[in-house]
Amino acid sequence: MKYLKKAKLIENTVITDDCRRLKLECPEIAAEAAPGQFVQVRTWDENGPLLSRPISIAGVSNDRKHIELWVRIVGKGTKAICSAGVGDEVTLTGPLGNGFKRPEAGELIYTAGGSLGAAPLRFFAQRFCGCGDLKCVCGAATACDMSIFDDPVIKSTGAVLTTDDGTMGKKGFVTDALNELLDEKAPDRIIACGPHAMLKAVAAIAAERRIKCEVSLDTYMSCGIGACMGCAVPMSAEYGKPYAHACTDGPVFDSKMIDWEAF
Amino acid sequence: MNKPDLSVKIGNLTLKNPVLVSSGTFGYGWEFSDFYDVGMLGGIVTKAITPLPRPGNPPPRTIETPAGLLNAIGLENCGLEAFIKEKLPFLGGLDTAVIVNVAGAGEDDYDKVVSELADNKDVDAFEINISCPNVKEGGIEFGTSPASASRLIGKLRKKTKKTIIAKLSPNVTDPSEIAIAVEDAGSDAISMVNTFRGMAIDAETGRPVLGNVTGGLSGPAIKPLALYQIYRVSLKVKTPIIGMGGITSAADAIEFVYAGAAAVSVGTANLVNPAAAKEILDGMEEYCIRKEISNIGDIIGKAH
Repeated sequence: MKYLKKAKLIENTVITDDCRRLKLECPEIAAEAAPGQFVQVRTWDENGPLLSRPISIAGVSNDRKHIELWVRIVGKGTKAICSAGVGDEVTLTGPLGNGFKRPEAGELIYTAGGSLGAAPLRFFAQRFCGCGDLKCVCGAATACDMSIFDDPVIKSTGAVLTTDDGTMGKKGFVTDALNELLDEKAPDRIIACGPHAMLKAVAAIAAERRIKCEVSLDTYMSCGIGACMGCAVPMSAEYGKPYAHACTDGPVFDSKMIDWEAF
Repeated sequence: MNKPDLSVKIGNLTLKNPVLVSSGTFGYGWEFSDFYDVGMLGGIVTKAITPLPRPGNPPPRTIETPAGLLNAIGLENCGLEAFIKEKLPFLGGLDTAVIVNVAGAGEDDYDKVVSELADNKDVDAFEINISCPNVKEGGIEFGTSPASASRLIGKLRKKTKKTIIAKLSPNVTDPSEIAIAVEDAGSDAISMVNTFRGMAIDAETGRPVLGNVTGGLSGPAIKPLALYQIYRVSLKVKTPIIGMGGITSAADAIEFVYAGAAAVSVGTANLVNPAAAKEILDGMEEYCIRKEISNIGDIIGKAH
């Protein structure tokens, strides 16, 4: 079931200059949300931006009343969302899309999160802590972005942290750290979320090493519910159709089904 | 005051209220059924149906612009056969008019879809899309020439007794010419406007944003343009007009009725707020009660 709800903003925490952590009261969505799913978020009326903004769910409170969203200010929509004050009503539609597969007993899973892309992986770690065996790598561009990972759930996973410039954690890309883990032992599955170039690189690594890999994609999106067909993702021949839709077929896809050359 | 009469007659079809949802913004209806009873609407206009499935255009397919949305979906649809099997049963079970939007590469494509559905009890009307700006085979060649629009509508008129609505393009010098042509050819109603052709370029890369290069602009940005075209065309034709173009609120919808629309269609607003059409319908009823309008038909074209 998808819900359209006015959710009360409970917390709006500054993570970095351009990132915020929002806690929203929405029991209906919190009760049904699964890791990898997203919500459409809007804080404006007809005088604001137009479309709602799709944001991954970063976690759900233990009492299943609140959801957590990590938002980076990239344009006027996300700026308006991040400017919302505690107590304000935020319009949410969700939970939307298909999430990551549940871990099987004893399944070894490596997660690779790039910057705020760690959000749905954090939800995965929170929900499935104890099922399967999780090893996490999280990468950011510089030390300034590292506070994204200063989070109890991410810390509890013992995640390897990297920065592109070496100002904190291991120097290098998240894919370098992932490769080191892979050299030690091959997992049953890799799950990843982050910038497009990173996901493309993770998909290539997984393909080369013949490891199952799920990626959570970010595309231009309008409705989020499968009505407009706007969020097309070019797919490989194996998929059987030239395009899938990030909102209803994804946003989590088997990485080998995506036509990375065209995407 | 008692509940106002919001019903509207379009050809031989009576809509229980004047709020429709525009093709391409409401999927096949069920996508919105978690949010409200979509059967409360006056009618649901389906995604464009072509004889065979269409994959659609390469991405990116949509980009937001100030107060607007540019799209170049490319008529992606499941094709006639899957529509009948998988999508139509849900729509047929609703207490609302089911209006099938028909598109095609040539007259034969339109003919095939209309002929196949002409006696289908779950279909109430056809909206003939002669105005898609985003694919070469989207019917736009019919929508920009009065002669070919007339020939196509005349041909389809012979195939069905169901209500025919011709969906017009705003990307012409004078839409009245096309409107008169399709009216004379037997179209029961006109729906207007489809999207305005436009494009977006990324200043950083210097490249067009949309995979299709150009797209169609919808949303609040086009509302004044749409209102004007409806105002103008409604002076020239007798057939009812289904008005659309950036309707986001009940007040917007009422403005379209004053401009000359007998019914209205909510498009891009459905993508922003999945309950938009319901809220607009509720608001139109409240407006009529507040203004003591007992029959919505009384205010059609009263801005003239």
